[in-house]
Amino acid sequence: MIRPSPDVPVRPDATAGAFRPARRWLPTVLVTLVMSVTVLGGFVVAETLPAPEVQPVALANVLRLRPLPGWEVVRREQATVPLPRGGVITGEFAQLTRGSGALDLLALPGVGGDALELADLYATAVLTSQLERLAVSGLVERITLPTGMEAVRFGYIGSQPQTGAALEGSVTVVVAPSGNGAVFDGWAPQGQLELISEELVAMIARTEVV
Amino acid sequence: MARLLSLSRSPLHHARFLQPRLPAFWLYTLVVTLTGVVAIGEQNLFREMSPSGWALSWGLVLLYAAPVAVLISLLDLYEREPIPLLAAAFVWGAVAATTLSAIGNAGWGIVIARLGGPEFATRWTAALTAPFVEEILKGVGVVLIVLIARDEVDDVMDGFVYGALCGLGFMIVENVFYFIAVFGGDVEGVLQGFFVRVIASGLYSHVLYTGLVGMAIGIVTTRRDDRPLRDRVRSAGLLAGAAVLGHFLWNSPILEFFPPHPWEGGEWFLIPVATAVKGLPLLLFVVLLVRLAHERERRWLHESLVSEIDEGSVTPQELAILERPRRRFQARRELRRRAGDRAANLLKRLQREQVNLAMVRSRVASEDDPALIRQRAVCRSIRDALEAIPGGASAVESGRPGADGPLG
Repeated sequence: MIRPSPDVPVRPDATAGAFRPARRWLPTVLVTLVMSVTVLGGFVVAETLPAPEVQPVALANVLRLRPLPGWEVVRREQATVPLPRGGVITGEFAQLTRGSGALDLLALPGVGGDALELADLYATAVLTSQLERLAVSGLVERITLPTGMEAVRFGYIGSQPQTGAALEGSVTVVVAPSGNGAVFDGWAPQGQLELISEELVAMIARTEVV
Repeated sequence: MARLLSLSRSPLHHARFLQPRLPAFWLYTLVVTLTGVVAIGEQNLFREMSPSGWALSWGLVLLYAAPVAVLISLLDLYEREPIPLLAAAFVWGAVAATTLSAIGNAGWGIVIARLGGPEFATRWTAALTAPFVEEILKGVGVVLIVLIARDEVDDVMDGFVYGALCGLGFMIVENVFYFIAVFGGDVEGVLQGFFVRVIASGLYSHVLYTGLVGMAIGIVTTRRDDRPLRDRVRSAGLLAGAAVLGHFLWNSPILEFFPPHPWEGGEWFLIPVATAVKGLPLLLFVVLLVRLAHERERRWLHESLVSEIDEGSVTPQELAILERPRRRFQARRELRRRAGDRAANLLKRLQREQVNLAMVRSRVASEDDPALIRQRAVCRSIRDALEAIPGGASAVESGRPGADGPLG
C-alpha cells in the first residue's frame, strides 16, 4: 500500500487514492528519455548508417584532405587572389559542404611569407570582397596542427550580398616550409557553425600541406 | 452586511510554478537554464552583428506577440490560467525548444542526407525533420507544465492555451533568427522579414501547430471526458498528427508558390497568397476545433451546474448567463452602472466561484464531499454579500428562481 508522505498534505479535492508519490518520477524520466532521443537520436542513428565513400581532395599539389563522411565537393575551380600592391597570385579552390555548413579550401603554390601575412591577405582580399558587414575577430590564434605545422586561426561574421543571410566562419591558414600556402575557411549560417566545428577541426587536422 | 465565507482562495487554483518537490519542476529549470546560456549567446552575437536590426527585430516581434498572447489566454473562456504557468510555457518555447530543436534538426538532418543523398536532403530535410523534432520538443514543454501543475490542465482548451503560448515563444525567437541571419539584419532586411514571416505567415505557424499538440495533451489529461483512455489517446494522436502534417506541408516543397528572392513589384502580393495556400486550411481547422472545444466546455459547465440549482449555489438565470462569456460581461457592466464597482466585482467573483464549483464537482466522488459543500457555501455567501449592497439586491433577486428576468 502506498501511503502519502507526511510532509505533503493530500489536497482536499483530490480523488481518493490518487496520491502516488512514487509516480512523480516516472513521467519525468519518460519525458527526459523522449527529449534525449529527439535531440540526440539523429546523431546516434546516423552513426549506424553507411556513409558514402568520399575520395580525398588534392589541390594544386599543395594540400591533400580527406573529407569526413557526409562532406562532398560541390565546387572546384582555379582561383586568383589580388595582392594589395597590385598583381594576383593564382591557386586552386574547392568547396566542400555538408548540408548547412561548408569548408572552402584555397591552395596557393609558392605564396611565400608566413601564415599571418596570408591570413591578412585572405581577410582583406577575399572575405572583404565576398561578404557585406564583415567583422573579423581581432584575436588571431597561433596553433600547431597535429601534423606539426604552425598555423593561425581567426573568426569572422558577415552576410552574403545576394541573400542577406548572415554567416559566421573560422579561417585556418598554413604556410608550409616550401612556401606553399593553404587556407581552410569553414563557415555556416549564423548560429550553426558550432554544429560543424568539430568536423572542420578534424578534417583540417589530418590535411597534408606540402 | 452579510459576511463572506472564507473567500481567500477556492480549493482549486493552488497550482504554482515553483514546486521544488516535483522532479518535473527541476527538469524544466535545468533544461531552460542550460539552453538559456546558449540562447543568450546567440542573441549576443546578433546584437553585436547588427545592434539596430536586432533591437528592431525584438520590437517588432513583441509588438505582434503581446496582443496574440492576450488573445490566446482570452480563448480560455471559463477559467483563466495562472500567469506564472503561462509564462513558463512561453519561456520553454522561446528558450528550450528553439535551442534543442536546432541540435535535433541537425542530427536527424544527417540521417536524411545519408538515406536520401544530398539532393533529396536539400529539398526535404526541413519537411522531414522539423515537424517531428520541433513539435515533440514544444509538446514536452506542455507535458512538463502538466506534470508541474496537473490541476491546471484539465481540458482541451487549457492544453490549447499552454501549447499556443509555447508555440508563440518559439515563433518569436525563430523570427528574430530569420530577421538577422536570413534577411540580413539591417533595417530593410528586418522589415522584409517581418512582412514575410509575420504579416504574411504569422497566422499559420507554430502557434497553430503547438496549439493542436496542446489540445492533444489536454484530451489525454482531461477530467471532463468519460471516454476510455484508449479512445482519448486515439483522438490525441489525430490532433498531434494534424499538427505535424500542417508543419510538414509548410516546410515541404509541395504546393510551393513562393516567388524566388529577390522580390519585386507584384511578387510581394504573391507572398501572402503563397503562404495562405499552405497555411489557411490548418488555420480554419484550428478555428473549428476551438469553437467545438468552447461548445464542449459550455456543455460541461451546464451539465456540472444544472444539478446545483436545487442547492441554491447557482440560479437558472445565473447559469444561463454563466454559459455565455459575453453575457457575463454584460451582466457585470449593467450591475456596475446600477450598484457600483463593488457590486460588479462581487458578481465577477460569484461567477468565477460558480465556475470553480463546476470544477470541484468534476473532481469529487460524492455529493457530500467537504470540498463541494464548502464551494457551495462560498457561492451562497458571495450572493448574500451581493444582496446586502444597495442595488445589488435587486440584481440578485432578479436572478433567483421565479424572478422575472435574467440577471442584468
